Amino acid sequence: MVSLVRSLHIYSGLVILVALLVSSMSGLHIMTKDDPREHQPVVTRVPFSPPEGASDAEIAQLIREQFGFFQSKPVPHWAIDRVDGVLTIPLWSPNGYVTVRWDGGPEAEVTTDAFGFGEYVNQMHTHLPLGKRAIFAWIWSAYMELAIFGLAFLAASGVYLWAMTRPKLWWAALSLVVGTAGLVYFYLAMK
Amino acid sequence: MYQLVRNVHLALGLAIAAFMLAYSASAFRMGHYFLFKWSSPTTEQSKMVLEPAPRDPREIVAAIRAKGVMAGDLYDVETSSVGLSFLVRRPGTEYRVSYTVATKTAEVSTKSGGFWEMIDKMHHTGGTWHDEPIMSAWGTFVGLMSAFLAVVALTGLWMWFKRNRERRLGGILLTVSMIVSVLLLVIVRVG
Repeated sequence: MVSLVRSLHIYSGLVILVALLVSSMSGLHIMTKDDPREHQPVVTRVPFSPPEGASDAEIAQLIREQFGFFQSKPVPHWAIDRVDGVLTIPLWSPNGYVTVRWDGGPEAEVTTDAFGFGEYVNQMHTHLPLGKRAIFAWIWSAYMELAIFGLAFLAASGVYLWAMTRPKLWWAALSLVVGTAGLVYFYLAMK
Repeated sequence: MYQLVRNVHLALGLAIAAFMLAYSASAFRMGHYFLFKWSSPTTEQSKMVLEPAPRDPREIVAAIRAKGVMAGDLYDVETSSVGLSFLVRRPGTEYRVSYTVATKTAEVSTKSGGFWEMIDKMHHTGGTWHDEPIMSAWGTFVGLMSAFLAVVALTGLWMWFKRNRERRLGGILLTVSMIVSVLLLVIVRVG
């Protein structure tokens, strides 16, 4: 049994190795990130003229093609917002956020928040196969979904392997207790 | 050397085991929220008179906190002719506050959840820029756990490479997953 679990532990780790490294880089990136409340995206005005009679959904698609970053998610109907004649379309991609406001005039207001490599990796680690996505991002999200189960299995099987093979190592037990106690402490302190 | 790497892998792996389980559980909830609707946060309303009258949102937060009610990061401060409103957020709990200057009254709408909501929001919380020191400390803890995760992944890879038993199937799994995942990371980034 131990031998089987060890083999599965190794295989799982190898399959989700990239996901583990991406999650790790994401955590390190988040730790060094500046206060998002002070972040200012770039606002520009860009010529925009959709075809006569186009519906809001068609305009949203046009905006996605014209202003969205690569692999921008298709705009769901509930995200298309028109208030007092101003159409607001939010576009999301792992490469950045774009919000386009168009009042029917010759220009659209485009608010762009392009992600650097660190934030890109962070965005990729959050990818889960929810709703309609651009195809490559969706395949990646399926891999991340697999990594969720892999991560849980690695943790559980790792503890099992330690308990079955080297349970008398005091520093290993201490390590498990300190890590778990740290998590519980923060849970209770922030709740 | 192998024994040293094995010990490092064990010690750090056990230190992050609970963290990995909590993060995989919260990620599963995010990806399968329809299964967790029962754990949605609930909202409660409360009202309190603040004496002496605070002058700005941070003072209001401090005054309400002194009553043992509220802590977290301050967001979305908006002023109006009668007072101001703002949001205070910490993992698992969100306070929407509306303060009326004339009556010195703060109306607080508190949205909070249980265990699942808490670990979900802990997963979303990182960085060292927070108004609350405990949340910044958590951000550092997340960074530390992330660094440990990278070490555990790489030491695991090294140990696999040194073992003969899982070499063939492991090599196939690693090659396929590396090619697919790295290719997807590059494609989604650069198109």
